[in-house]
Amino acid sequence: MSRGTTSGRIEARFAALREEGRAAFVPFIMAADPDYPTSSEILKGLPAAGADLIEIGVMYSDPMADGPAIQAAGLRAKAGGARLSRTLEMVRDFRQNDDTTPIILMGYYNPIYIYGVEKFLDDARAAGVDGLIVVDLPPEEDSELCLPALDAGMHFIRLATPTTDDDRIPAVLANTSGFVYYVAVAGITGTKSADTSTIHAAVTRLKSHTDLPVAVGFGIKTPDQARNVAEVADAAVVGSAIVQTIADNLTPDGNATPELVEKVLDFTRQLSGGVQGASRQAAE
Amino acid sequence: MLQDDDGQILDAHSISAGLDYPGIGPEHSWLNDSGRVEYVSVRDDEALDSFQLCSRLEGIIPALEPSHALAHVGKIAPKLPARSSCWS
Repeated sequence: MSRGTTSGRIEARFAALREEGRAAFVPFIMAADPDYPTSSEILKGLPAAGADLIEIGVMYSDPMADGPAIQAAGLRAKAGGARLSRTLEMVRDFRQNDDTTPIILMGYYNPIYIYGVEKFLDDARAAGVDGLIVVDLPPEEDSELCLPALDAGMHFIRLATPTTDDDRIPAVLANTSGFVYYVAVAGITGTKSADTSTIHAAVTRLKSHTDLPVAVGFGIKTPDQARNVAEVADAAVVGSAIVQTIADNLTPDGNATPELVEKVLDFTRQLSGGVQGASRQAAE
Repeated sequence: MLQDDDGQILDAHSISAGLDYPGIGPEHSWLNDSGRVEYVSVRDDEALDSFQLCSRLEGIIPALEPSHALAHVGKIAPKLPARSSCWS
């Protein structure tokens, strides 16, 4: 299988963090939540608030993996004019001042399918997107987007879950690149949380099958939880708790309050502080 | 699929719960594209009228889904010969 040359940003970031001996902190925001100017301002502030990589949610009308907080973020984004093309525009704008922080788009396949796979990969690469997480494309559908993405040098990051058993793991990992995203709970985003020893065991199991970094997400809501995860994984992803901070700082009619961006970045700093304070029990 | 140009699925509406869905399955799509089946539409009020008519005349209370089909039968039956079969 041919693999195109990647942007190299994800590899470089994980290599640098390995040198530092710490895990990555990966915040998630939904593009256009609650509007493009506000989410663009948040995005630009995230690296200075401790984001090592950034996941940007692409709003989709039928978000099967999203819990209530991210579903609500999606509805706000829809009202805020979310469109895949404008989200790529937001990444392009971010890249004017940041050429190192990896950007991963997370969403569902239909908007990409309608946009056109080849055109999307060209435009996303040009905008400065480094990787994709497409929740509703399992390995059986790799010819749709995963293989063209890898050919185009776009990382395709697959989700592994507590129900991904040893028989299934090779299929999940076969065409995964950049890193592996371990979904810590069997369920939707932002609900229950797994305990650290369970996560440690799962990460260790994944690492026996791959040399890729393992990120852990779903259910990490506090700096303490982020620190615990960062002790046993290569990255801790926080989404629902961050978009909930956005929800908590809206006017009654759903617009951003003047302090919204700073509140979100403050919370992000606390979370990244948790990750940076972790003492690593390297799961090799 | 009922969707906008960004690939977002649009809200469907039907008075019949079983038809209140924004997509068409692959088998119906294939039958339509290959010309084996001609697909038509029926309005909510037409389906309800057929529901009433069938209940009153036949003593059979149809579901709202086949009530749509019965409404179309009412449209095409008068144009057919007195003794005809859909198989002939």
